[in-house]
Amino acid sequence: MNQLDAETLQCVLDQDVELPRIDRDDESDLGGLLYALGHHTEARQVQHVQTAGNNLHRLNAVTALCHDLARIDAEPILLPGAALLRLYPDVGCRSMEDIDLLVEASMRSHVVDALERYGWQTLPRHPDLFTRLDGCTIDLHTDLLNGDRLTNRRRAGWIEPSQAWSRCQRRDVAGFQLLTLGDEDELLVTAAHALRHSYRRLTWLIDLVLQLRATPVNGQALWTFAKGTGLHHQLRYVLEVVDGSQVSLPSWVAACRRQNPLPAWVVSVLGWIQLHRQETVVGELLSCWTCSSGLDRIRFVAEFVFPRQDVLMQVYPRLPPRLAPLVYPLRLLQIVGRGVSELAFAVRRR
Amino acid sequence: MGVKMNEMGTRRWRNRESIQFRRLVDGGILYDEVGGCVHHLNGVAVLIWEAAGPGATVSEMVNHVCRSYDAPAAQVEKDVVDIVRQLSVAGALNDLDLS
Repeated sequence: MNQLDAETLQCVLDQDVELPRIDRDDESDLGGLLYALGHHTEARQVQHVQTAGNNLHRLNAVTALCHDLARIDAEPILLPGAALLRLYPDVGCRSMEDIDLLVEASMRSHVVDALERYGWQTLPRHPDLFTRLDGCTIDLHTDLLNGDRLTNRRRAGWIEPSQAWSRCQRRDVAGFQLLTLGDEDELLVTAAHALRHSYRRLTWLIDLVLQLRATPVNGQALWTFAKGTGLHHQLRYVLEVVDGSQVSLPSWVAACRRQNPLPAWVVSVLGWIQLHRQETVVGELLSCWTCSSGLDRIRFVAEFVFPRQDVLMQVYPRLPPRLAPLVYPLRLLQIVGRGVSELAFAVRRR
Repeated sequence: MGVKMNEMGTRRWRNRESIQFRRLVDGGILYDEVGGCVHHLNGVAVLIWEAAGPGATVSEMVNHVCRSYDAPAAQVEKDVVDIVRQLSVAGALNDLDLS
């Protein structure tokens, strides 16, 4: 991990080093939390209060929806990150772009009806994304790892939704009683999501460390659980990243690193991802590479690069539906451009 | 101002039910679920909000603040009255006129 990110994490999580100068993206990601931890600026104070207000507004809306749906046994599960607000000093410390809800596939139509009753509407081409005029956005999921978007994703580790439902817990999230995932499921979902997005937000690493500290789980049991789901690679990678930042972690983390050493190439790729976390998609590619067989990896990478047409149309929101066949050539151009850009970064760095 | 302070002093104030309060590290936040409005409270305002939970007069609130800050009543009374007025105007406190 680069020194700046490591120091930022140490400052936030252990409060034992000075806050380094952080860039604008991290400032907008962490401003509220930094204010709460005593790193006061006027902008951070404003962000802290705004985040608290936004979070309260969204959680109120979601709680009303959940309570309504509970009456017909269709109450959704609040997924991370909103569910992880409970681990922060207050409701102004973690900003969220949207709120992710897990619904049972058989109940999805009831949930959609309720969302529409409460004023949410889907965005064109995004049947799972519901927005409201007040800026509140809900992302509906029927599985924990976006397997309906890229079907091969389940080859890179999978938690059966029915099992996640059987382990869910009702918890207090910022004063609201809501269904959340079980501890182990929540940890693995956070780890997989953070890798998929190349650890772009430091908030995801902070989420993970706070979960590790708060979860009364034995390391060996968690590792066995992760292996059972096939998500042990994602867990192992994120442990490498957070432990590399030298923040204090439960003692089993170091033992887990020793007992399950990573290949040198994976360590190098993780280093690359952390250096370029704001712009790289290598995290998603590494995520594809966690499949157990070579054929599965190729299938997953192929689907990631060229997903279904309806998924790819989301990437080009202005492309008229009648030009849908053009999405694949456009995607090819995008991939080439992206590859050149990432290579240029590599060359410049050398 | 003095007359208004006297008027306020005769009333008993209580938090409006539809207002949600959450403590923040530097005070608190009020969220009005009906109007969707948000109000940030400083430390003194949080004490006033807490005192007004079961219902309280301004002098009871002043006592509560004085105990927490170990400050004389004369020093905090004006702040308390100002905050009660602001919360009342914002619709966060209801008054039960005792006069």
